[in-house]
Amino acid sequence: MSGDAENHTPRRAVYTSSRVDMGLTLTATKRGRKTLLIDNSHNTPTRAGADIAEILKLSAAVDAEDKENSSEEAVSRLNLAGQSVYGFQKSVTRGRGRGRKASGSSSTRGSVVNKAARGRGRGRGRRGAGVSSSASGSRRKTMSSVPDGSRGDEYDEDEEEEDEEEDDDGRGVDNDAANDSQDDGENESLADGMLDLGEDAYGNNGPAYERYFQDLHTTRGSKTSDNTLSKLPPLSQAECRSILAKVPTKHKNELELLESLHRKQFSQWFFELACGFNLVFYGYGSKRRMINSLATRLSTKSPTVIVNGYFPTLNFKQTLERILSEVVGFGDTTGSVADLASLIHGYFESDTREVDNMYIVVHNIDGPCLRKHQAALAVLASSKNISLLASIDHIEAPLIWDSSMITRFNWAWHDLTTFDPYTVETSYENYGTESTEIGPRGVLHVLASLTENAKNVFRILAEYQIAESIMDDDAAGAQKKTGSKVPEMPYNGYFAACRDQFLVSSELTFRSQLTEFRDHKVIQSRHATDGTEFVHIPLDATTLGTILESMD
Amino acid sequence: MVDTYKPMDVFDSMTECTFILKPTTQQSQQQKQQPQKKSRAKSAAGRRSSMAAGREDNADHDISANGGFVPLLQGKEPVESMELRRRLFADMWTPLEHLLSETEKRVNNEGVTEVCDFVSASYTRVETTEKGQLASPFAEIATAVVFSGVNTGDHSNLFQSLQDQLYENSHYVVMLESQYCTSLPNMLKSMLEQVAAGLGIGTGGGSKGRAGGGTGVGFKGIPYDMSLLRIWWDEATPRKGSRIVVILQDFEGFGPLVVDDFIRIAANYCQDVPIVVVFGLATSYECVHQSLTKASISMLNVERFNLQRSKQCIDTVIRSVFVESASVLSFGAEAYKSLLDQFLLYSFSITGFVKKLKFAIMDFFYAQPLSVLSAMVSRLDQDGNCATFSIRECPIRLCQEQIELIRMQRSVQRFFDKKVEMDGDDGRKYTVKALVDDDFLQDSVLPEMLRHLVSYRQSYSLGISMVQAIQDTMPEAQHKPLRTLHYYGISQLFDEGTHWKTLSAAIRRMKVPEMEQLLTRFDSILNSSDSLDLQYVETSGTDIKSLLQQARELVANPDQTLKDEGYGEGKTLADAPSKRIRTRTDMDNRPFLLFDNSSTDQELRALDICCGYIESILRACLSPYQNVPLYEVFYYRHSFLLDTTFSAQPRAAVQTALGKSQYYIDCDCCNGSSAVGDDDRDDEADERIMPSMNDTSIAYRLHQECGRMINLYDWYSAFSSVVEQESTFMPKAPSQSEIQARFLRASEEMRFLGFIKSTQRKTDHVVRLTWGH
Repeated sequence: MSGDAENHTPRRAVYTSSRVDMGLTLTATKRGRKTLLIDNSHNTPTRAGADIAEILKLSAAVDAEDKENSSEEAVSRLNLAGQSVYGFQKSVTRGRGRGRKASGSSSTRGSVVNKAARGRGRGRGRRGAGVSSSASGSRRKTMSSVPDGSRGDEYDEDEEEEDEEEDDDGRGVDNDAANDSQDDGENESLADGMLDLGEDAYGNNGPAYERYFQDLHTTRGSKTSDNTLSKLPPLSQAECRSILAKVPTKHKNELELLESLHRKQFSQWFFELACGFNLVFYGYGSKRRMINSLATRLSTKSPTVIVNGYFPTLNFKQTLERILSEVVGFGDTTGSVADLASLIHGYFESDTREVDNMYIVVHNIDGPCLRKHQAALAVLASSKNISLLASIDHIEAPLIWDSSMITRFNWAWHDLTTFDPYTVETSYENYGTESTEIGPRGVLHVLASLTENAKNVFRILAEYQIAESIMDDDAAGAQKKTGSKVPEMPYNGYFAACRDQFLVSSELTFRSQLTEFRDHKVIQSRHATDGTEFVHIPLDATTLGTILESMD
Repeated sequence: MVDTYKPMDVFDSMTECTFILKPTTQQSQQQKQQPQKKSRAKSAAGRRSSMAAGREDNADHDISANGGFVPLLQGKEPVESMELRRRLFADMWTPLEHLLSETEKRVNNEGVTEVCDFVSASYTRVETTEKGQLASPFAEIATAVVFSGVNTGDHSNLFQSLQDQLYENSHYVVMLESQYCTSLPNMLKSMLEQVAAGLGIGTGGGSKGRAGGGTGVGFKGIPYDMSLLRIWWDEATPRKGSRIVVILQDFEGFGPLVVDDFIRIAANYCQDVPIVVVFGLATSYECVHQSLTKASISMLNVERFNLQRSKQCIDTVIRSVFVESASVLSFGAEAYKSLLDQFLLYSFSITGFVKKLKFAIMDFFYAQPLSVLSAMVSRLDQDGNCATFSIRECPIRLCQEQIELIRMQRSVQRFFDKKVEMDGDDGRKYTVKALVDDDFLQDSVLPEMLRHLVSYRQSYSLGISMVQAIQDTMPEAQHKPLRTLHYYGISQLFDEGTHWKTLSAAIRRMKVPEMEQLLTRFDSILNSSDSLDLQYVETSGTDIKSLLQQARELVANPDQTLKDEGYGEGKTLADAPSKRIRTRTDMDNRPFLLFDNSSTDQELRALDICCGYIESILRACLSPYQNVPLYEVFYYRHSFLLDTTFSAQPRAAVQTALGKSQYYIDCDCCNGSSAVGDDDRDDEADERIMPSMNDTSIAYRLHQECGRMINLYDWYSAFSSVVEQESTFMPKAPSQSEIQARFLRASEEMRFLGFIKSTQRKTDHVVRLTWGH
């Protein structure tokens, strides 16, 4: 069977075909079922035999899955046929209605729908005959779906023959039904196909509600296909960025209008800030460009702090320290984040302050590193002389605030939908294709799960790289960059350094540490031409510095 | 890896996440103190200069000019008018804010005093007749458990006034917040610092300073221990009767173990140092028992207090602001409902209520070009006391556009129509002049219209007071709070509202002495304000004073009056009670007539007439505000604005932007109905995925059709089959790598927005997190 599938594959374009699982509409299935319920009463008694009932019992558990798969398939083909029809659920209904009327040759859709019906018959037949899994069945179908209508018709005939062969080996009366429907050619309606299935589903082994509960409680495996992204050519983050930079913006004019409308509100927002409200912006699209533009205007009067909350290694304590030293003018401050926040709050509440007021702009106040600091932010926001402007993007973001925090924040919400791509906000994310890259966040995650010794092993290499790159800067600062090479450390030297610090006792343990890092792509190694091994962390010096700081 | 990432702009960097911009005047000073790290210095300086450059580019107009106010009416509004709006806002809000905070304080005060009395009375020795004074045999900590309601946002005000009052009674107050008391050492530190500041230890000064928040004086190297407290207390020799009051404002926020330990320690010292603990609870009293152990609860001498008074507070606020119109701006029915719902259905938070009110007033003066008219009506003086209404001349001449805007208001047109109808030719001349002559409109017509408004407000307030007087005679269960009465008053006609019907039934049930009482009450309400202007009601043909007078005479002497007027003839006193029931309404409302022989027929008749009078008075007083000229201006209507600003739906906004983009982008290309498909109707047009849509929008719509698990590759295939069709309207179809990059971006954005998350359960799969549209 699977051999057949492979025979067909080369004829088809792969990318269009393997979309089985995209259109999973439960309603379509349900609707199908409903039809069955009605027709069932008329037809079952005349046709059903005891042996079929046995087979059907066996297949009952997997049947639902099968049904869904084939309806999906019908749907995914519909996509190809009627080029702009993507409302899957509705398409199915429509297709069914039309199938009755339309003549075979004229309606591609009709044919597609028919296939779905037949496909179901075949899938069932197989299972009845005890042939392995439903997954293989659906996959085969997947591989052999058709990019255009004409070829589809041609292919349909092949399929029919196969179907008959298959069905013959396990099926009795029910098989007739399937064959009948196929013989009817393109004119047969989906409703008939469904009816056919109805006997499958219910037969005469009990009332329909049993099936309902069976569906409800059967834990089915994954319904999705086994395709992986490895089928696509690899694309590095850098390539991605350069490609995306060239992609033209859709709806350029409309978005410009939208932006100009937003910009008109700047004065109003200023008025709201002056009245003691803090602003939070929501809506789809990157809001940092607009908010930064607002912030630069605000900064002509008062000091303005811009915090990029989406930054994966944001150190909020450091941010507060910088505010204290650069805006307030307090040097050498210590204490927890809460202490620092209340210190700033206290300064802006006091009457003897020099700086009258301050604006704090937080992009993505729901960012991962800020989530645990909301209380401190609320303390800052509650001061009359500190105005907070924030943006949120996560759809569940408001859940991070409890009611007393909300009161402190004193938000006025504004819809700032821009449709700008989140280029900057997601630039730290690994796009998931080029597996040799690992972002700073990934490194932190890996480190968090390691022992103290292992962390120090990492630290040695990181510090070495930072020192090297600073020396490089000093030495060759003005000269041309030597391919902007990341400094590497010879393996032996690295081992010696670790051993000297009592981090590892033998080369074996060192190896195992290194393997761990290598598995997580934190550390990469390279063999030079003379055979010596060099290791390095694929990150630049400043990022490493931030990571080291946040490790403390 | 080499970082090839190019920053988007000056505020974007792979290494820094905080940028500080300083005002231009301080720029030069800033340049001197360069940041510390050498490696960063160069880029930082470069960035700073480019920041300055960016700033100049953007400074096409100064958004902070005029405090953010901009000329309205397409910029045709004169500057004086705009300035006036700005000034009026401050003039109106400052006293109103004062009024609101005073009200809140006054309402809270009662409960606060109770707690204070408890604190002062704690640890007093029991007086016995035989042996003089006797100390309590148990070492229990006096504890006040204060239930302050779910409106946690208001608690800081409440506890602030508690703190103030305790200070006045010369107690030492320690305010502990859960966020600073995560562990016992933290808690003791925070407490002792505040006590030290209060006792004047370490600060040198003897006066009690108030240490706010979590940062007190701070002693380095001292172990914070309660024994320290005892030493201080002995040394400081505080005044007699002082207590140390430790307030745990948000008891639920504290770790139960921390409080537990604290109580055990404090119990050891409470014989020497009078510590009183106050727990502030937002949920219920049971919370204390649930979180503390039995052993520690047994060390407490607990008394309960209920300080939740936000409903009373809100009623008082609504009376003074809306019913007695402390603010010129009132709320229309819909906006008022939104305001009230936020309060009643959400959190009982006064802060939230005040916030919305403030925003509405801000919006009124910011966006309503006719808000300058409120300068002609003044109500509050600077201290927030209600003064009498007065109509003044407008300080500025209105511009052409504003005058036209006034003429265009529906209510003004109705005002003119009525004039014509009532005064005939004079009215017609008046109207013509008002429509043509701008000065006439401003100088004579406007004051007249505003006088209507003012007069309406007064009679409305009178009406509500009368309704309350009637309510007081009714059983408790039928009482409605003022906030609801006001809502009925502005949203329902008197003849239609069910509550109004209950009221009518109540007065129809009254007997002579009750009616006399009610009428006396009405009289005192009428006479309580001397400068009552009832012109508005009178124009509608109801003379409240004379009606009341007649009613009183009737009730006082029913036989005489009715006879004089020719009633009651042919009817004898001997009528059987059963015959008195003449109508069905009587049966419903006055079944007592069947059994009641004490009232005479004349009396009943008189009562009936009285009820009619009272109803017509109420009907006139509570007439809908929509009849008042210029109500469009003075009754706030933008409930939608309030809802979106304070009850925003960020998730719905994102889903709308992605699923129904045309709501934001009104474009032709994504409208499905213009494309192929003859049998697809409009509602289905929404469902169709067009290649012209935004990439993420396409990905979003595709993902909506999936189950819980989404195969990335299949998602990609579906995405590419849509995007490929761009060739129908673009010069060339996108390449495979472009599609791939765009898909990755779209899926990454979906992840960023929280629609999907990655999973380990199957290779290259993501889990869908949201359902529904």
